[in-house]
Amino acid sequence: MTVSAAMSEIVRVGGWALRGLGYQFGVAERGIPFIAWAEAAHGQVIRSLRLTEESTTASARRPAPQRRLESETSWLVDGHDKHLLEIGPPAIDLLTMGSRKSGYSSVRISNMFGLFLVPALCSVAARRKIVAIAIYRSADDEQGPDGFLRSAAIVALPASAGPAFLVGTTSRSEDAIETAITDVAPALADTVRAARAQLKERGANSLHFFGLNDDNFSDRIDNGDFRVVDYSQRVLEAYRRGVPVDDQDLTYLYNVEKRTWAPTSERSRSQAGYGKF
Amino acid sequence: MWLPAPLKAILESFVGIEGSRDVLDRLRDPGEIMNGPRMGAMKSMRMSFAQLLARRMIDERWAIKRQWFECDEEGDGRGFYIIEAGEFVLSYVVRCFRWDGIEKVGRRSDGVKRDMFGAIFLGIPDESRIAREFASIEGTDVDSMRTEADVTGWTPASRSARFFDHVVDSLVAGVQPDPAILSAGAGYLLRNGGYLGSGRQGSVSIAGLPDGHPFRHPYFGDLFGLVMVRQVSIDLVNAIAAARNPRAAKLAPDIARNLGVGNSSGQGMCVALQRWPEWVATWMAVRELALAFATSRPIDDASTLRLSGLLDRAVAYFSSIELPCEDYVVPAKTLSCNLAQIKAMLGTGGRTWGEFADRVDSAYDAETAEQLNSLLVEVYPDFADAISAYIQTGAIRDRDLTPEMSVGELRDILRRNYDWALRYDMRQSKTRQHFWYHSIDNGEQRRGERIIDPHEEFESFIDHIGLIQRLACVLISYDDAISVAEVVADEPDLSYGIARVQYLANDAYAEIRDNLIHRDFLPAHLIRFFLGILGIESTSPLSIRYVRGVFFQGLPLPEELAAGCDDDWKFQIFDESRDKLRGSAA
Repeated sequence: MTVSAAMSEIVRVGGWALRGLGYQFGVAERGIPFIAWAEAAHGQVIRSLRLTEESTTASARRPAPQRRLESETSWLVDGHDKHLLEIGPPAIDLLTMGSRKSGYSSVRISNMFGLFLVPALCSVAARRKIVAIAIYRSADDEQGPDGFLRSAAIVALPASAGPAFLVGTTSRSEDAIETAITDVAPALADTVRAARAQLKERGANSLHFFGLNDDNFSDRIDNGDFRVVDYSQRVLEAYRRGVPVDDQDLTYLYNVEKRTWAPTSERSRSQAGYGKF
Repeated sequence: MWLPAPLKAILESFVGIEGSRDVLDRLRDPGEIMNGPRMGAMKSMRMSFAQLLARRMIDERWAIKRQWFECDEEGDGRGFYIIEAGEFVLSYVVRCFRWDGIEKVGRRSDGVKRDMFGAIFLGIPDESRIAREFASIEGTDVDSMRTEADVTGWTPASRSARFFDHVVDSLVAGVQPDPAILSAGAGYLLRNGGYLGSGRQGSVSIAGLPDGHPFRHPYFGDLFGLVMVRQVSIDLVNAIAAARNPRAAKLAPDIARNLGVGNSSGQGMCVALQRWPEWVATWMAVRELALAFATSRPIDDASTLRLSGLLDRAVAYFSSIELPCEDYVVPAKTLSCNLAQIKAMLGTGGRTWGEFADRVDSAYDAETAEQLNSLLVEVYPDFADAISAYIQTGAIRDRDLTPEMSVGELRDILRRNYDWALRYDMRQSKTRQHFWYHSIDNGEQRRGERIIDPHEEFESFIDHIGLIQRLACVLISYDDAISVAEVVADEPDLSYGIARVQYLANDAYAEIRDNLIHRDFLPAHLIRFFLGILGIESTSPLSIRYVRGVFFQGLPLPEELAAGCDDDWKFQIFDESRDKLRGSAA
């Protein structure tokens, strides 16, 4: 059965649910809007959390990611098999920082999962007025929403009504991205080619972000082989009308939230507000 | 002191650039006022949310029209209202339950045990939709009760048993209830059970409301829910009385008007204040600017007359009320006496209201001083109303990180804005004694002791001093030239703290400069502050972490709103009702 969940409900309950899965306050607080955004944009994200609970919980305990500057504008982040809800936002921060300082940058993340958050992550960069491009491929065993593309190139363009998204799955779309990026940032040419090469490999998840501080990118890219996807409009509608979520998944979210609720006792009840002391 | 651009523009439009400097010089030092005890002494002001909502309802002549209301002798029944709220239409369904004889104080742990449940709709739903909503709110399992995105929120409420029965019994007997009894009970029949909106249980998210909708304003949805609860309380007693005796009296308007909605708030409010510091920063900026403006004005005959009238009303009001507990407050009668003495000080010298306020501040307790401050703001309503518009916009902040900021720049902000937190000595265990947690009793927020009580790992965020100190320590381990993006990449958990420091960098009144987890911290201070912001005139802590008060006593009734009325309904008292009743038939 499907129920309508409010976006702010997902954020409120989901933030605590992420704590229940083992994430610290700051990580949960930052990660849950991405979960809510992705749920609104393409659905079944909470389901994915439910089905991957064991690995998600385990990832919260893994060591912190390691970052390395591969060139002046390119970062490599070893995610140590952590979920993108935790390491994705900081990766976008590195992307933003590099793009604002140098005009362009790239961040490659290895050893991670949760690729269904890629459009949500790109959205943040675009709201920061950075053109965000993601080239990703998910491993065969990566759990994700039905219909979520297992490999693609996504472009998120800053726009006043919310980021505009182009999604490409063909060589032509990859060619268009490579041409547009290297027009602005020739130094990223090798990195783009490496990202494209990884799309053809089987094995672990691969994810490359590219960021450009370029107001003319939408004119620069040949978007003939891309699909325009209205993610931003879906999110706006979700705020207005709610998000259809499977009852089982919403119940799961509430149940995980309750793991953060302490058992009751006479002492606990005395620590509530009512009563003299 | 830095002022947000919209407030600066309004100030300069009133007094010019030169005059602005005089006003800004009067802004109070955050180091002196942003602490629990002082904030707890602050009073409801013209720009408190209940007053703002009421002004909008009065200015736009909102029409609250009861379409039907039916109940039996025990109050089991339903009702439906249509509300014309300016250019928007709302509707309200209410389900009243037969009273089960159990007084419910309105705690979250009570779950769905309420005596009434209402739902506010956007627009007017059809009959099948209304039926669906009634089916939801008649549920008994709080976990499965859900609504849809055409509902802004639910309004659970419970009876104040003793006074409810007195009113019904009086009306059944054909007479009006005794205002003295009602005022002894603080003047309400139904008690707020906590507005369930902003996405709770599937209601619409605030961001999903149409542009310009009144409920996009902070707390307008919640508070309008209380306006409807108040209306239902009036209609319910009338309907029960009529069901018991077709010749029963109806509640007189002068008594009905002085009924409000009871409210009790707990320590969860402290968590909300800490979680959303930009709200506190905005509210305080507006309040303090209004006060600085008022205290910069010269004392003249017109302003003296206005303040004198307000003091008279405040004296009478505080003299008339009886608080259930005065352990943690300045007693109402003392406040009344103090304000009477202050009135006698009028005309005894001083060039500006600031000089007058300073005399009061040095001679009286903080609550008395803050009550005077609240009245001084009332003396200059045009300015207060003009800057009130910032309350809605200022509270909506982009809480995003600025990733390219350097560690050195961030440390500069910490030194400039958080020296009070960095120097706070947290070594002794009493400084870290408490933590806030949610209980399995419907998620009620409680306060435990570290080491002794479980679930510390799931504590609600409230320790901003600890966060700032940790952030400062981590930053020292980085070169000043490193970007905060790199710090966050290594320590994702710190993104919240870094963003908080960054986006509050220019807000003078951003942080509560108190240690909320200290053994000796009294949550009641901040609960009183929050309730004053929301618009309760007189709050009464029943314990160190639980505060009661009444909303909307004196608010014009629907027929008065629709016909047009004065927006001054402050400090209404039941004695006036008694006097008017003596001259009128029941």
